[in-house]
This record gives sequence, C-alpha cells and structure tokens, in this order.
Amino acid sequence: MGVTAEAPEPDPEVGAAVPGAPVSFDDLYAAHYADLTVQLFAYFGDQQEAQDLVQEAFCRALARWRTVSGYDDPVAWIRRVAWNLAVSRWRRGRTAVGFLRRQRVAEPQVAGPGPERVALVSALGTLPPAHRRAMVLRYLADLTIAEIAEQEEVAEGTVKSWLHRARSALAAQLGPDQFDSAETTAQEVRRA
Amino acid sequence: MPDHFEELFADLRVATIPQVRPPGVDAVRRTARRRRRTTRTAAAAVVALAVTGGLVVTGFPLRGGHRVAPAERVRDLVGTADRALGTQLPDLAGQPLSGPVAADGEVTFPDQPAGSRSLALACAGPGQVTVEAQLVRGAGDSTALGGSVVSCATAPQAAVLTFRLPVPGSVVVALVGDPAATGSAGYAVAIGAGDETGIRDETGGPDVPAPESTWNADRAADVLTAAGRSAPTRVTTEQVLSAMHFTGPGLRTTPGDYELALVCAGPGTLTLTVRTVSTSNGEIADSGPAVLERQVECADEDPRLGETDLLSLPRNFGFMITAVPDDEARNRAGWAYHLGPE
Repeated sequence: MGVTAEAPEPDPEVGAAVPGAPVSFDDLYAAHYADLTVQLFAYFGDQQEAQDLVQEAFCRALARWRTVSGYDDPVAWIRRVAWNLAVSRWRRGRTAVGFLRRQRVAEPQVAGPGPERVALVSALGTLPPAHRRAMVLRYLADLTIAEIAEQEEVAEGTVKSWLHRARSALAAQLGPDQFDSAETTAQEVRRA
Repeated sequence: MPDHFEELFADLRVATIPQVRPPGVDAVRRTARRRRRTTRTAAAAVVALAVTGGLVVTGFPLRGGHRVAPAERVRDLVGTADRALGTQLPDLAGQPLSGPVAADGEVTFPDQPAGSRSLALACAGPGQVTVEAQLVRGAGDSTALGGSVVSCATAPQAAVLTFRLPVPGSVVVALVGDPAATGSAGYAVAIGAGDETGIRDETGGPDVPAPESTWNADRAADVLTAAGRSAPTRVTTEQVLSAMHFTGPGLRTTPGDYELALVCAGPGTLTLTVRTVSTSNGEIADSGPAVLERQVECADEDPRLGETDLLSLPRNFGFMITAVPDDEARNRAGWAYHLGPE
C-alpha cells in the first residue's frame, strides 16, 4: 500500500491568502473577475458575454484548481482560458455560455455606458481581432509586448506592428488631433 | 506627451468595473459540482501505460543559423508528435488529431463504438499535459473514463490510456497544458480499438502502484478537500494485504475525539480496521483493540464522503489504520482519509 502524506497546509481553495502561500480561489476571483471582464468587454463590446466567458474560465480553473493553484501565475492561466474561449469559434458555439446564461437569475439593471466608453468600444470593434486583442492586453491587462507575443504566439515585432496600426486606426476614429501615434509607439518601445 | 490611450482605457476600466456584477464564487462552485455529478455514471477505466520523461526544450533553436519563430517551432513539434504516434503505434487505426498544446485544449472523437478503446497521445516539446477523457452521450450525460499526466519530450513516447465504453458515444478528451507546454509544445492524439496498440499493462506489479490506483487516490483526496478536509492522505492499493499505517495525532499523544473521514474511489471494497496502539517515546509499544471495523464500498461513479467515524484516543495511544482491498479493488481503487480533532 503506498501512502502519500501531505504536510498540513491550508486548503488552497478555501483558505485565506497568506503571503508566500498558495492564493485562495475566492481571493483570486474577487481580485480579478471584474478586470478580466473589462478586458473581454473591450474586445467583444458585449459586457454580458464578457462576464459569462470570465465566469466560465473561473469554472474551469476551479475544476483543475489543484493544478492551476500551483502555477506561478494562476491569473495568467485563467486569462488565457478566457481569451481562448473568446477567440475560439468552436467554443463560441456557446454551449457553456448558453448554459450559464440560462442559469442566471434576474440581475440588477445597471446604467448604460457613457458616450466616451461607447465611442472607444465601438472604435475597437472596427479593428482586426488581433489588433484589438493587442490593444486590450496592452492597455487593460497591462501585459508587456513580450507577454502579448507569448500569449498570441507571434514575434514581438508583430505585436509592435499591431499596436502601431491599432493606435493609428483608433486615433483616426476618435479624433486625430488628440493622438500622436508615432510618439506613442516610441514610448511603447521604451517601456517594453 | 502623455499616452492618451492609457487615459482612455483607464477611463473605460473605471467606468465599467462598477457595472460588473460577478455571479460569485458560489455560482462557480455550483457549476463545478453540477459538472462533476454529470461526468460520473458507469465507467471502468484502466490506465495501461503512463509514459516518459524527457529533455525539456528551452529557448528557440537555431535552424541554418536563423532563429526559428515560435509558431514555426510549434508546428514542427506538432509534426514530431504526429510522427511519434504513427511510428510507435502503427496499428492504431484512428486518424490522429494534432495541434499546439493549449491551457484548456479539448478534442472530440465522435461516434465511438462500445467496448475496449485505447487513447494514445504523444507530446513533443517542453512541459506536460494533463489528459482527461470522458464519454459523452448527449447534453448533460457524460462519464469520466480516466486520465493521466503525460510528459512532453523532444523524442516523445506515446502514452496509452485504455478504457471500456459501456455504450457508444463520443469521447471528449481534455488536454490541459501546464505553463511550460502551453503554446510551446505540440500534441497528437488518436483513438482505436483496445487491442490495437500492442501494449500491455506493465505497471501493475505487486509492489508498484498502478496509475489507475494513483488516479483514484487523487480523486478520493479531491472529494475530501472539497468537503473541507484539507491535506488528506492518499493511499494506493497495490498490495494484497495493506501495510499498517500509523497516523499522526496519537503519536503526538494528544488524547481526545477524532473524526475519520474516508473516501474510496474506483472498483471493489476495502476492509477497514482501526486499532489503537500504545506508544512510548514516540515508538509503537503495543497494539490495542479494534475501535473500528467496517467494509468500505469504493465508488467508481461519483465517489462521495458519506458518514464519518468518531474515534476516541486515550492518552499515549495512536491509531493504526489497516485497509485490505478485495480482488476487484486491488491496485485499481485508491483511497484517501483525513483524521482530525472533532
């Protein structure tokens, strides 16, 4: 009989967060659900769909929590899953999302988006998907160019090109006078 | 000049976050529980062979003096995995499905007939992939078939998971890459009749825990963890007579009442006996009477934590837990327990 005894430790799923200890699922959810939702909302332009996808990503994380909690950056795993759900046509068959939507109880109504928000999200919606993802990951997920390149499985130069084109397109739509795409690109390169 | 996009997106974030209404972690847990329930009906799974370690590839290799782009390298690795499967298991009739390893990959083999089936997977590159197979017969009707963790390697070896489908259906295989493998490794997976691999179970020796037993011990531990019993002890069943296990609290001579929570996953039955043993200077001095004797039915479908046992521990005594698996359970079932103060 093989016995594997583990050293006593807090249950990572329900335990409180302790510096240096595995982060709890609850804490991770509380800290990152809204931010991830904003990112996917900026990508889709549909806040409810964004919420459903992020919820689904957290469901998948919980199902594998023993593995995921051991990663250096569990949030990166959840973000990647959420984005995979978002960009995968197959998964956008909406089985899981549709299920979640059906399970949803009546939700409180919230105020509609303001005009600036609508303008930005609408402008983002006109960009090619890869450019849009790059902008969202850069400005909302605060990923570096290297991290975006890794997630998108492209070279860093490609990401820089996407960002440059995306900024130019957005600047043209939102008001060219406000933006200096070339200057922003130079800042981007310095920050990366 | 300030980056106006920083401001715009910051405004978007500030304006949107108050409107986000998280469904909450309870909703996540309800969904997870519901899915666990629906993934367990009748199933018999045998992990026939787990596989290979190997070299971990880091960085991008040079080809002809030029650095190979990540996407191109992953394409190469997908091809490597594909060839490994074709070379090592030429008799496996099924057409392989292949692609880059993802954090939440999934492939489906539709319309599989009932009977013994073999699922073969090769992974080329760094990291490892967790494989979980389930039989899907319709919406909300699925059966866990088994799983394994497969190491990726530069020269991958095919891992084979053998299981029996009680009825025809689609086999859905979740392929969960760890961070090292995700986006950097390639897989190929194929399914065929159970006897097409030419591989026989070589891991079920008398003293070696079979992967199925290890898998079931993990499942049992997961049930306990989900029930709030942290850090459960996992036990495999490779020996006919299980070894005695002396557990901690008694050896620290802390008298009192203890709750024994035990879950057994897989086929068969365990005969569980708990005795008190006297201790002296931290050593076992003498075996006392049995304080608990019962049969534990293992559950292949949806193992759950049933009734727990309350055990009283006198001063200077410890607990000795013995479990004897029957023929059906031996080296297939796995169990886990948690012993804590009541």
